[in-house]
Amino acid sequence: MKKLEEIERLLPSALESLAENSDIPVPENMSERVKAALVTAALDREERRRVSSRRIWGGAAAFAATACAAVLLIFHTGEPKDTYSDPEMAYAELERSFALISSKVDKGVRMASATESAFETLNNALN
Amino acid sequence: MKKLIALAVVLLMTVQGFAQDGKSIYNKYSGEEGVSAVYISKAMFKMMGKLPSVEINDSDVNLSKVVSSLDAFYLIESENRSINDKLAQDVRKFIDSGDYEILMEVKDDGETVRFYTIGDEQIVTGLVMMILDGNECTFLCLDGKMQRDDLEKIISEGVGRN
Repeated sequence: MKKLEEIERLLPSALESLAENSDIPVPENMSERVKAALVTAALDREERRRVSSRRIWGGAAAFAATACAAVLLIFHTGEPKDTYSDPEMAYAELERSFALISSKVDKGVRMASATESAFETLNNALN
Repeated sequence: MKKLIALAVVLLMTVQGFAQDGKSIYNKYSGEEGVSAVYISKAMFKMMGKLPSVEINDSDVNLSKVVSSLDAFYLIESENRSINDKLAQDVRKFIDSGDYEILMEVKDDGETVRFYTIGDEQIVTGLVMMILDGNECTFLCLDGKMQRDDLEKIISEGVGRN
């Protein structure tokens, strides 16, 4: 019985003469086994082709995402420019803003105080 | 393949993350129609700190202690109804993305005012005020390392005057 390595080294003409030799026993279901092996090989090749295609599209998607991120980073996260070049004007704006904060906080505190006094009145009435 | 998808997802999340801070909100809306915007940088705050005793409008409020501790000031005042909802949503995402705590909410005559702060018991690293009033929307954001006592004193001093 020839070894696999010896068979692989044979020329096609030698393989044909061996095939014509009817004395060599052929395993059962040989043709089905060969067909199954050929189908499996074809499916493997198709799967490898699909995987390669998916990798290409995946790489393209990652590149597009990176490009979008870079564009957004450049155009939307740059350091803004000071609105005022005069620090006194900037200070006036800051003071105006704190006055606004104070007025809103004051409104909330007064509303809470009004509720508290109403609660005390109710509590006194109940007791 | 999985690594490429994971990288793309991380990049997209990073981009999304950049939309959630005071600077990115300011950059996004400051150029819109019907919007007035103010930005004061740390460098400008340093210049303010070097001013001689500043008296604006006969004010008795001393902002000098807070000014030296501020890193950035962002103010967006919008009268553009088409962007007010988006602005409010972005501010909501900004608040939710950090450790901001709601300090106060005031609802009165159709106006909703919310205050948020971030920091610890002694230092306030961020103050956000959001006002929604009909067609108007105001977003104010202060970043820095403010002493909580100084900040509360300034706000209460302003309350006294109002």
